[in-house]
Amino acid sequence: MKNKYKKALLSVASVGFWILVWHITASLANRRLLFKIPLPYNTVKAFFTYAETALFRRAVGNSLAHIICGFLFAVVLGLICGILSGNSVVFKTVTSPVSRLIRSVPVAAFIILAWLWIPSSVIPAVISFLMVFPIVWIQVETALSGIDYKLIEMASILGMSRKDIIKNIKIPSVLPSFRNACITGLGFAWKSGVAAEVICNPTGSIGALLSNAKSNLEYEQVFAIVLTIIILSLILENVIKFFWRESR
Amino acid sequence: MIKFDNVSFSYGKKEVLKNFSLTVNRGSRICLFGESGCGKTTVLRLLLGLEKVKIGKIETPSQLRYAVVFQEDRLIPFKTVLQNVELFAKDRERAVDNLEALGLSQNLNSYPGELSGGMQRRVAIARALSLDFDVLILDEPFTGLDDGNIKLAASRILKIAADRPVILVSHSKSEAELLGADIVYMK
Repeated sequence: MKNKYKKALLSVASVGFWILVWHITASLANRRLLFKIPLPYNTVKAFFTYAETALFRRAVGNSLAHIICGFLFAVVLGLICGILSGNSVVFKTVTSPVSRLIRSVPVAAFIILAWLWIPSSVIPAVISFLMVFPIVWIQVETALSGIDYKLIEMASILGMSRKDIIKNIKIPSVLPSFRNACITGLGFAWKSGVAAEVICNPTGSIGALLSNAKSNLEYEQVFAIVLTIIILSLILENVIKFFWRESR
Repeated sequence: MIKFDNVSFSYGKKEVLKNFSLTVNRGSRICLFGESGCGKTTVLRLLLGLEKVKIGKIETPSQLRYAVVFQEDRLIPFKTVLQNVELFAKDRERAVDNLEALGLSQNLNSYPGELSGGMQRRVAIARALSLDFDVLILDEPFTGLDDGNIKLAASRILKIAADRPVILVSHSKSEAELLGADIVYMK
């Protein structure tokens, strides 16, 4: 208990330290007119002012909806492909160029490619999907292929049904990797989705707000939006971790 | 009950069994004895259907239920000791009885990774003994056990197996004697 309290205090202190560094850096930069950096106080003030507007709340809602949609679709399809390629050499061989291609193409290239054919409002969802899909696929496939075949052999010889082998050996073996893929994937989905929004500017999205604020040289607003992106990323990460803990 | 009739088997070009014949009757206990690589485990794999008989034949009654203590413990690492046994046992009571009889009453909720090698071996033995079986197969079952635990495990095996056939693979004649098994020398 004491350790937990100490750890929490240390975390708060470290955040405080970096805010102080930010404050000092911003003060020095602004005083010498090197470049403008908004002060932490002004950023937080801009954040709360912004948060009260319907435009901002709608943008957050839209971005979350699109990116989570892409993420969920990627999780489901990645799981299916992972199971298929973990169990079938033919499927794995036939589809491996696809997964390799998706993993090796840079996210910016995907955004531009997608922009050729897809309406800008859908691109964040598509990009989130493309970032998460191979992560889930490969993690599930690797976990399935890594199951000790001697365990399966033992269970089968000792009379365990195929259904029970899946329930008692295969699923628990794959679950930790699948969980990690989802946690890592959600972070990727959020970052790449917002990047897609910044590039493609779909109306009513966080990325578009960020892009507009930058164009208008509204420094406090740029920082406030970045702060929002960070906060939402942390919330999403903790929600998924909580979900996994509860479902265990 | 089980009859190997002139069975020959090779892994690739390496011949492991040549014209091997053996009859295991109801209630008989036999020990396959010989040096490493002489084909003892192959006999078990052929019997369990893990390898296909190409030359000769094996006759068994249909729907024979096997309980096996494998050469490796093959415990499920993310299940507790009790779960490892209970998953295969006829009922929970039998699983607990066997684990307690093998001196594992304090470890029912431990995970295999938390146990010593000898304890894991006893869990593997308890798992096999908790099954509903017609034939008990023991592939070097006492590896890693001290003398006291070998005697404990042997007496439990004899009690549970009763008049059902037991096929033991071992390097040790004393283990065969403990189980009262007839030795089949393999070369």
